[in-house]
Amino acid sequence: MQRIDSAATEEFLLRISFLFAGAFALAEGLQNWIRGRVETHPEVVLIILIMYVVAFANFGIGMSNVRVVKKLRHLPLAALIGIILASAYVITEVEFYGAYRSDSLAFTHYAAALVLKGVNPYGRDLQDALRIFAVDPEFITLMPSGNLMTILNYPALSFLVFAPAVACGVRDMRVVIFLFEIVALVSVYWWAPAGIRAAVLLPVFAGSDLVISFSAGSIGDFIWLVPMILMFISIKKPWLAGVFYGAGCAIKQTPWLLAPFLLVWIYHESTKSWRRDRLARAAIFAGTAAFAFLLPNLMFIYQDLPHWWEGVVAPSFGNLVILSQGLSMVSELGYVPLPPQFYSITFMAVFATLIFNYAVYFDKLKHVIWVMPMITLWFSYRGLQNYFIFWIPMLVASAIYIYRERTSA
Amino acid sequence: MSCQRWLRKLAAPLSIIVCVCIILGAYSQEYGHGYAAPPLLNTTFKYWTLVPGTNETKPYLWQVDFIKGPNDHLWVSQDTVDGVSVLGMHVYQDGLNDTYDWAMVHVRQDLRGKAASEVFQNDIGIWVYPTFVYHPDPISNNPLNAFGVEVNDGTHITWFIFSPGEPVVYQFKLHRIIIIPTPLNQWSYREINIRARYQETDWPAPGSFSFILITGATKPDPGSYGAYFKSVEVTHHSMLATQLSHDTWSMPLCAYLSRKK
Repeated sequence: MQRIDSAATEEFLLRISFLFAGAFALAEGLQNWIRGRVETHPEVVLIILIMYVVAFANFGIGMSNVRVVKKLRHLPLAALIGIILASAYVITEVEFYGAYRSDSLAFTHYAAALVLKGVNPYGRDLQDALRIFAVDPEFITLMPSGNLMTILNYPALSFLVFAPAVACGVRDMRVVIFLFEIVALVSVYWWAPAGIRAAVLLPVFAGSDLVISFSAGSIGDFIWLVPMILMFISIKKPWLAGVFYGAGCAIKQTPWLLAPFLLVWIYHESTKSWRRDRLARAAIFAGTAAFAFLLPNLMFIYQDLPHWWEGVVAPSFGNLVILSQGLSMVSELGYVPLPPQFYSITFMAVFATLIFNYAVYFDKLKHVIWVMPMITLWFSYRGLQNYFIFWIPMLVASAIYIYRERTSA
Repeated sequence: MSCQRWLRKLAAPLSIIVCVCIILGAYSQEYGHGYAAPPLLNTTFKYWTLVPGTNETKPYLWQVDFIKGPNDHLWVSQDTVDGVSVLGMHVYQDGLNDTYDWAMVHVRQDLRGKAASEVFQNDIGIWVYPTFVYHPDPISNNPLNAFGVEVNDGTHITWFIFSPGEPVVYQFKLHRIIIIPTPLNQWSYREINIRARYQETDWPAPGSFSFILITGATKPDPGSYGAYFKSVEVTHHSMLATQLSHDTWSMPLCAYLSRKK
């Protein structure tokens, strides 16, 4: 069997990354032509023309001689970021101008504005935010009573992260989300060794949902993803990893599910050390994570613990209508008559089983860690696409980690 | 060591078996209890959206209809009463002899299937704030003004009217008006049960109907009217007179009268 030449492989991956960026530019060029109301928006016409030029340039360079390809090795990343920003502009400024497409961003933006005025947003009825940010009614969250969910449902960093932008007069917080998205993508890209960098972004750009549609549609999950990526990059330093993990948990509840798996990882990571040292590492991680989580929340806990609890912890245990792309879809659509309680029990049983097996078979399942919350949430009565899709950058980071382990060995 | 190896071999299948057993247990326990989407939506009248083609706003997921003559004036608004954001329904009846007898606002949700049967069978709890007294015509008993809930199944109309006074029922051929005593200018919680009222008249249970909040006045009763709804909720417990002794007004009228005797 012929052995793979690493220089030739690197060159091949580079060429593929150029072709990929070109193909993505073509695809998004067409999408922007469809959604960009080109008859009345000349700037969108210009954007589309540039996107086609970018596509042809990437194809051309990707097929050029090796010297040019290597010299311009970072061009695909720059092109992909440019495409994200171009499509983001078309969606946020033309297709859905001035309108958020999720209530969560409306509430967190409004909460940031309230905090800057010295008002505690927990426990307050934030329904004004739905009107101010013209939230698309399709994306408003309903409770089983038929009432609309109009209280803040996230930990404090979810809105504190917007406070500087609000204070500076930024009117659309999707700008902040895209800023975090670019930081996340560049972090993963730069953490990858040079030889494989060209390939690492491909899974993230498989479809435009993750990198364009969700952020432009006001889903702010890239904000918690940045500290999660930084946590993973620094996982060999439990105190630092703990700080980043705690910060991620202080933004949204989704990363909470990782806690037991991460503790198992930190405990097992150093196989050569004594049990006491391992426990100490896990304790340091847990301690700094708790500290980083509590720090931004502390003032609100102190001011009004019951409302903070109602807003941050209670939503994790239900009181919303079934809405799912996961298993519970069969009940939401009336095919299998099962209530949310069934899915809550299933969720807990699956979660416990996965933790147990991860602890027992850590040597085999170590890097499956990011799939665990996906599987668990798939059994939840609210299994939305963003609960699954935003783990993809973490899976890419894990693939880089494995590559680094292999090559250093 | 070999014991540990065996344990390691058994851990996965055993844990999966336990997990599957728990799920099957939950399945057998919960199967058939079904998931019912909330039958009435936006029950506290939040998030006011623009009505297409007008500058008017309405509570999200509710439909608003205006029935009026040329110079009558009707509007709904998100008002604040006692510090709470509520649905305000306002009517100005000019009293002129125009085509329509009524100047009336309807704020409605059309219900069918599961949602209709949920609302039909269960108690509906409503917070209301009436500001005017119900007037029937002294001779014909026809209503001259109204604040309450209309249940309209396309054939039969039932009105639950919130007004001070005695609990009275006015029965017309296809229209029934039930007065639920409610004090003026304060918030009151009232429960209604549509099924119980239908049973009293032997009207067949409807497969679909409109659940309508109404405020209106007729030409003989001109002037300005305003009234408020804070919330509407399906309380999910079938009404039995004996269970509801704490609130006599939520009973079927016959039960109330027999108790009074």
